[in-house]
Amino acid sequence: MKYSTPNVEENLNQIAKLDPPLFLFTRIETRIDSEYSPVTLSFAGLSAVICCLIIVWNVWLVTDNENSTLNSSNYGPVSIITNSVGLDESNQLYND
Amino acid sequence: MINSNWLEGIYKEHSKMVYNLALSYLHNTEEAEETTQDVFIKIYQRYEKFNHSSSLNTWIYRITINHCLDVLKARKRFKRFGFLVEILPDSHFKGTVEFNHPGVALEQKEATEHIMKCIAELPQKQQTALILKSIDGLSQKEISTIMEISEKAIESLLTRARIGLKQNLKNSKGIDD
Repeated sequence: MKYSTPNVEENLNQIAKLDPPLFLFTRIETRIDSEYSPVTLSFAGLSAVICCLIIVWNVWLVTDNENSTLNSSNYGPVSIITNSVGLDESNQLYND
Repeated sequence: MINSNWLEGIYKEHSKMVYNLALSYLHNTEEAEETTQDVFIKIYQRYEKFNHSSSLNTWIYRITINHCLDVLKARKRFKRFGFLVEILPDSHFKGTVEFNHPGVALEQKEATEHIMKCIAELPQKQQTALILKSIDGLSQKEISTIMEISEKAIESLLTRARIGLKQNLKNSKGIDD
C-alpha cells in the first residue's frame, strides 16, 4: 500500500473524535467508592469496641494464668515435682 | 475529600479529550477505556496537590500523556517476555494489541493502522507533538504549554517527527517519494 505525505496528514485529521462509553463514569465511581471511601464512624466505633474486648480478654487470660501458677506454688516445690511425675505427696517418705 | 458531583463535572468536560488521546496513543478501545478510568482516578487522588500553576485542561493533558506513555512502556516490557505467554496458556495477557480504533472509518482502517504504527515507532516527544498537532488539532502554543518546552522547540520536534514518520513509512514501503 502506498501513501503520499499530504495523505498522511489528511488521514490523521479524518480520525473522528468519539464520546467515551456511558458506563465509564459509573465504573470510575465504583472504583473510587471501593478503594478510597472514608471509614464510616460506625465502622470505626465497632472496630474500637472489638479491639477493647480483645485487650480485656488477653489481660484476663494473663491474670488467670498468673493466679494458677501462684496457687500451685503454695504447696511448695515438692508439689510441683510430685505433680509432674504423678506421685502421691501424702506418702510418708516425702513428709519426712 | 473531593465530592462525586465535582468529579462528574470534570468528567463531562474532559472525558472526551482523555478518551480520544488514549485512543491515539494506544489504538485499542479496551485499553483506552481502562486508561480513561485510571486518569480520572489519578485526578481524584491528586487534585488536592494540584497547584494551579497551569490550567486544569493542561494538567489533565499531562496526566493522560504520561499515563499512556507508561502503558506503552509496559507493553514493550511485556513484549520482551512474550515467550512466557506460550508457557502460560491461560494467561490473560496478550503479546500484541489489536488495532481497534472506533474513530477510524472502515475504508481507512488499513492505512491509518499503518500510519499510527509508524508514529508509535518515533521517539516519545516527537510522537506526543505529532499526536497533539495532527490528531488532536492543537496549536503549537498549546502543545508547548502542555509539554513545557518553547514553541520553537515544538516546531523543531514536529519537523523531525514528520521526517521520521516519512522515513518509517518508506522503510515499511508505504509511501511514495
